[in-house]
Amino acid sequence: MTDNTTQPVKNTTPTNNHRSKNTFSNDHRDNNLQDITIWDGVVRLCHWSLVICFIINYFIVEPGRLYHEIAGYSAVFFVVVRIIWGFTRPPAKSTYQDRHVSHDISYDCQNKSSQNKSKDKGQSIYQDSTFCDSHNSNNIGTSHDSFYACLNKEAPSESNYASFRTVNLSSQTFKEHLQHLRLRNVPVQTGHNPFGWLMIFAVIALFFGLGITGFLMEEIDALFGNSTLEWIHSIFADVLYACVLVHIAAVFFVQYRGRVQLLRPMITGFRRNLSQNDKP
Amino acid sequence: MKKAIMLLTAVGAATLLSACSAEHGTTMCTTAPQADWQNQEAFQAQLMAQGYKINEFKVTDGNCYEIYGFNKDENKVEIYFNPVDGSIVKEESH
Repeated sequence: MTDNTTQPVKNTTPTNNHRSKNTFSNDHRDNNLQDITIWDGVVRLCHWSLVICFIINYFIVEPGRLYHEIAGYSAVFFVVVRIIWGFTRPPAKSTYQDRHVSHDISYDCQNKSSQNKSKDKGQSIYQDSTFCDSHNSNNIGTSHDSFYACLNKEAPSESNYASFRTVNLSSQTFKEHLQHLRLRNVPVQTGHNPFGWLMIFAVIALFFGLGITGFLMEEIDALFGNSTLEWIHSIFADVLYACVLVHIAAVFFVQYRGRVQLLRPMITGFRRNLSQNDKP
Repeated sequence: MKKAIMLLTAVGAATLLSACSAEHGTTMCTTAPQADWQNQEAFQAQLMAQGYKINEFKVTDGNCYEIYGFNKDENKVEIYFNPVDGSIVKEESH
């Protein structure tokens, strides 16, 4: 395993040192670069709206004022939209099919003898619960290197990473993600890593908590100005701010350490498909 | 890599700066020592006599007596008082 896994990483190091962090445009293998859709417009709209609402309420307007309420309820609205989106967005069938195909190809590239087991063992994308259950951790390095080497040519255009049906928080997925970081190779075809999903659930809970405590304080006469509620509300806000800082740090860390574009997909929707492992 | 570090530094600095600015919103009411402040119970009794209903009474970080409650017209109010002379420093309706 060690020989197979360290080799591609070593080979990519020189190019990585020279290439621009955000655009990755200096990679000389431009003919293999292509954009992959990661985040759809709704996800991005919700994400940046929440950012704006949070900044407005935490840093700019005074607590309890009208604009604070508007921004707060807007935030809850966008969280609700995101949740509905997460539940209703169909995990696009074509993606699953494409992925099956890709798995087969990946094993075709590397190891033809294990063809018949490829659907059970070839997966290492942690957002895809149906593929992760029987994954063998010893196999992570070799399988995903070759898997993505081949996947680069077979990238499905449709993405379904927003769907809550792709959530998988088994310990296996965490280990897998850590392994990706260790290998400095987070797959391009990924949405949220398991830590990211935890952050999302925390943020959803916090926004709801903020919205509910805020509503009670303002709209229920008997609770107007209630100091306990106000305390809870402020703690939620501080914890949310802590989450924001962790989130920002984690994004930059994973983007750098995992050599995967995270910022760009959340802004433009697309991730450049880097052909790090396209060796024969 | 250098770019990543620069970005990280920039973001860190920006967040720190913005964190500091959060403290600016505090309403200041007096600089007089607490010994000169009115008695809290007496102050509240006086307000209730004027027709205010007090939900919550607080001494703020900005040295104010602050009430959440309702004025005599049953409107929700949040008022900051100077604790020395009892004057209204800031009034917000909700």
